[in-house]
Amino acid sequence: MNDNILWLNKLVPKHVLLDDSEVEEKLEPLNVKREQLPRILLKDPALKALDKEANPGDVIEIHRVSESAGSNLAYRVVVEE
Amino acid sequence: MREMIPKRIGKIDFALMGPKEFRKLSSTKVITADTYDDDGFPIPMGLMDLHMGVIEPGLRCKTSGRKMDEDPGHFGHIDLAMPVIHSGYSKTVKDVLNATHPSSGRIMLTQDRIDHYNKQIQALIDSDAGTTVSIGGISRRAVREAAKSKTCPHCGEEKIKVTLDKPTTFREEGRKLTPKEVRSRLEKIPDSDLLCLGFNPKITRPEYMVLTVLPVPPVPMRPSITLESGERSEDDLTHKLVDVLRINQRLRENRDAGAPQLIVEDLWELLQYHITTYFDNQTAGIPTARHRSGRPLKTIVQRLKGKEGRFRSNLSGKRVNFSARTVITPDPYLSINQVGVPELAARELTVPVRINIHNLSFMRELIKENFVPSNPDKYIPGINYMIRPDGRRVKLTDENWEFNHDRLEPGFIVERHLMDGDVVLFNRQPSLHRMSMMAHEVRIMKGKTFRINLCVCPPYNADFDGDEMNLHVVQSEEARAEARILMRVQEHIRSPRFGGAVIGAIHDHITGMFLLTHGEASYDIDQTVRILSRVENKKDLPKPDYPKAKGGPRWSGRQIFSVLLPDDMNLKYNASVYFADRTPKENEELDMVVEIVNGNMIRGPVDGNSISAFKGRILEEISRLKGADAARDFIDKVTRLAVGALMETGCTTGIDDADVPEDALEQIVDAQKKAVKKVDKLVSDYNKGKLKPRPGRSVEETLEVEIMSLLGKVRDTSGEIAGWHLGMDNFAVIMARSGARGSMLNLSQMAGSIGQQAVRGERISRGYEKRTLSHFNKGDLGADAKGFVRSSYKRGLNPTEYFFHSMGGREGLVDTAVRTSRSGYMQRRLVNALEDLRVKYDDTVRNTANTVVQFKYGEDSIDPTRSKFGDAVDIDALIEEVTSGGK
Ligand SMILES: [Mg+2]
Ligand SMILES: [Zn+2]
Repeated sequence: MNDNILWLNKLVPKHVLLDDSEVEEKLEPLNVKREQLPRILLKDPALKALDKEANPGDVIEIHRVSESAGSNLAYRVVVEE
Repeated sequence: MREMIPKRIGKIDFALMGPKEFRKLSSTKVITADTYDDDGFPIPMGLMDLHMGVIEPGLRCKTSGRKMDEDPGHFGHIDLAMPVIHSGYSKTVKDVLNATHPSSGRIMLTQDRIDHYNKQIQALIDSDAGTTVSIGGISRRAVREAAKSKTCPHCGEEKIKVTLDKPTTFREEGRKLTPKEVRSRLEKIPDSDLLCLGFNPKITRPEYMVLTVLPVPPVPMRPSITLESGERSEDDLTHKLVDVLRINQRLRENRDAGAPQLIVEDLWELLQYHITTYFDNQTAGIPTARHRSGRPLKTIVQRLKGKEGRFRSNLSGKRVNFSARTVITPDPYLSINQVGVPELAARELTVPVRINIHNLSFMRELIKENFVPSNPDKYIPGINYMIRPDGRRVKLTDENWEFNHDRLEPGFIVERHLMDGDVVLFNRQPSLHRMSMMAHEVRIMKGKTFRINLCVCPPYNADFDGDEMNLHVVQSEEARAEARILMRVQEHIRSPRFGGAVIGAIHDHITGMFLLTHGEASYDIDQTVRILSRVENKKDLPKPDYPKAKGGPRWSGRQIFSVLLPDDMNLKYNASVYFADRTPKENEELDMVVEIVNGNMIRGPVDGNSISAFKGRILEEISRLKGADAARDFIDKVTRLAVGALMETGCTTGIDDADVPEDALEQIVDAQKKAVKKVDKLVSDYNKGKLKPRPGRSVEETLEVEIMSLLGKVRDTSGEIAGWHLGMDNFAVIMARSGARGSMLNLSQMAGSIGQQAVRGERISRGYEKRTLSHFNKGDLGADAKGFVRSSYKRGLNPTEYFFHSMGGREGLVDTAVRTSRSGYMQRRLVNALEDLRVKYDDTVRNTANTVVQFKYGEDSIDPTRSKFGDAVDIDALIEEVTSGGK
C-alpha cells in the first residue's frame, strides 16, 4: 500500500493487484474461474491509487472488514466497462 | 419429446419483420375467409388450414405431422391487396417521413452530421454496451435535428411537413398520403442513412412499418370452441381475420376490375380499420370492433394488456388446483405443526396414491366407505377419481363403484381425500418471509374454518378478526418429502433473520405460566394431576415441595413446570418481571431471578423471558441444543400447561385494574402542577431573554428541549406513583410485567396521565396563527397550549387535550400507511434482485450465470437459523460449562 490519500479513509478496504501465479493459487481452492468473478471497473479510484497499473483481466484481492467473520477476502476481475 | 432438449440462447435480435420473412415463416397462404366445409373439415387455404396446426383430436398437422397436443402450430400469411400502415408504428413512420426528403429519400442532414451520428451509434454497437435506450437517444436526436431543416442539404429542395391524423392517416398540407405512397417514400431511403434513423440496415427496413403481408397466427392460438348445441364458435382473432380476408378480397376484385377510385379508397380504408383493430381494439380515434352480440372483440393487445392480460394473470400469477381458502380460528389443543381442516374442504382436496400390495385393501375399504359409510358421523376419507395404468381417469359413482372396487389392483392411482397426518402447505398473505408458508399436518375437523395453534400467529402475522388463509396439498412424494424436511413449522421456530425463536408462547400462555410458577404458588394433588394430565408425561410425580401443608401435600408450580425441562438444563437469568431499578440481590429476594439446576427449576417465575418468542431463554436453549422436534414438543406442552394453570387460577382484567387511590391521584396532580409551574418559569425566562442556550442549540431549541424533558419526567413520575398502587395482585400488571400483553406505560397512561403529545417529534405547534387552538392566547408556549395531556384515559380528556391526542394519533396512522407501501416496494425490488441467488455446496453464493456474488455465504458460512443471535458459537455458555467442571 502506498500513501495515496484514498487509503486513509477507513471505509476504503485494502486492494491488492495479484500476478498471474497468485491468481491461480488463490482461485483454485475457491473453485472459481476468472470469468466467474465479480467485476471492478478499470476507472475505479482504488485501482488508480495502486502502485502498479491494473489492466483489464487482472484480478484484485480486496481485504475487507467483515461484521460476521472479522476479515474477509474478496476477488474481482478488472474490466474496462 | 425430441423438441424439448434445452438449448442455450446465444443472441436475440428485436427488430421489425419484413414481408420476405413473413412468407418464409408461413406454412400456408390464406386466401379464403371460410373456415370449415359442410362436413366440419378445415378448408385448405382457409383460416383453419391444417398446415397451421390442429385443434381436433385425431387429425394431424400437415406441416409437422404432429397430433393435437404435441403441436404448437405454425404461422400462415395473407397477401394484402394494397399496403396498410401498421398502427403501432404510425408515429415512427411520421418521424421518419419528416426527417427524410421524399424525392431522394435522403435524411435531411449534411453528410458531416450523418457521419457524426453514425459513428456514435456504431461505437455503441461495437462496444456491445448499446441498449435500445442509449442508441434510441442518439437516433432520436438525429431525427429531431433532421426534421428541423426546411430544405434538403443534398438537393436544396424544400420539404413539406407531414402530419399524422391518429391512428393511421398521413397528410401533406391537407392532402392524404396513401399507404402506398408512404411505403414508396420509405423504400427510397438508402441503407447508409438508416443507422442514424435508428434502424439496423442489416436486419430491418423502415418500409416494414407498412404491411404488405399479414401473418396469420397458428390455429392453436385461436382455437374454435364447440358449444353444447353443437354449433361452432370461433375465436375473436379468427373473426377479425375473417373481416380482413373479406375486405381484402373485395378490394382486390374492385381494383382489378377498374372500379372508381372512390370505391377502392373506401375499401382500402376499411381494410386499414380491420387490421388496426386486429392489433388493438382500443386504438384511440377509431370505433371499437364488436361481435354480433355487441360485445367488443378481444384482439391481440387486449389478450396481453392489464390485470386480466397474459402477463399479470397467466405468467406472473397463476391459479392452482388442490388448494383451499377459508377463515382461520384458534385451537390451543392442536400442535403448532398441525392445521385443522374442515371436512367439507377435505373431501374436495385429494392426494394421489399409487396402489401397491400393502395399501390395496385399505384403499378398497375407503372406496366402500365412500358409498356405504359404516358410521356416517365419523370422517373417513373417500376416493373421487381412479387413474388406470393406461392413464384413463375414472370418476367413481354410485353406479360404478362396486365394479371399480373389485378391479382395483397395484399400478392404479387413486385420488384419496385428505386425512389426518397428510402434509399440506399453509400460507397467509402478504408472504413477506419464508415463515409465511409452512408445512402443517392435517387434522380433519367439524366446522368450516381452518384451525391453528396460537403460537404460529406471529410468523404468519395472523389474528382471528376475520383473517383468511390458503392451504395447498402437495401432490408428489418428492414434494411431500421436501415439505416435511424443509418446511414444517418446527423447522422454522428459529428465524434466519436474527438467529432466535420466532415461534413461542404468547399472551395467555405467558400469563398462565406466570400464575402457575410465581412466588409461593402451590397446588394440591387434585390440581397438580389436573394440570399435568394435559401433557404427556412419562416421569413420576416428583416429591411434593410442601409435604406437610394443611389439607395434604402440595406441589409448587415450579415443580410442575420442571416436568417439561430436559435433565441437563442449567440456566440462570433475569425474569421479565425483574425490577431494573433495584439491585440484583433485592431482585433475587423478590423471586425475580430464574435459576434452573439439572432440569429443576429452583426459583423464579416462568414468564416472557423464559418461553416467549424472541426473548424466551428456555425456549431458545431447547430449540438450539435439542433440535426442532424437541422445541415443538416443548411449545405444545407449555401452552397446554398454561391453559391448565389458567383453568385453576383464573385471570381477568377490567377497568378497575386502572383504579388508583384518591391520594395517589392528588399526588399526580401535584407533580403535574409543579412541572407546569417550572415550564411557565422557563417560558417567562425565555420571554425576558434570560434563558441561556445549550451548547449547539438556539434559545428556542433549548426551551423546547427543556420543556420536553420536564414534561417527560412528570409523565414518568405520575406513572411511578400510579405504579406503586398497582401491585402484582393486579392482572393488568401481571400481563404487562410478565411480557404477556401491554406495558406499564399503557397502564400508567390509563391510571395516571397520558403525557405530552407530539407531531414529528416536537410539541404540537401547528394550527392557528401563533397558537395551536383558539382556546389559547397567541404566543402561549405553556404546557397546556402545546399538547400536554394531564388527564388519564380512565378519567377522560378535556376537549383541547382530546384534539391534541388526535393529532398525535393521526401521525401514527399516516406513518404506518406510508411505511407499509414503501417497504412493500422495497421488498419487491430486493426480491427481484436476489431471487435467483443460491448458496452452492462449496459455500459460495452464485447467480444463475454461475458467477460469484459472495465467496463465502455471509462471509462466515454460518446458517443464522442455527446460530445464537448471529454468533456461530455461544462462548459464554462454553466458558460457564468448562469453568463449572464440565457439568
Ligand atoms: Mg386480522
Ligand atoms: Zn405442426
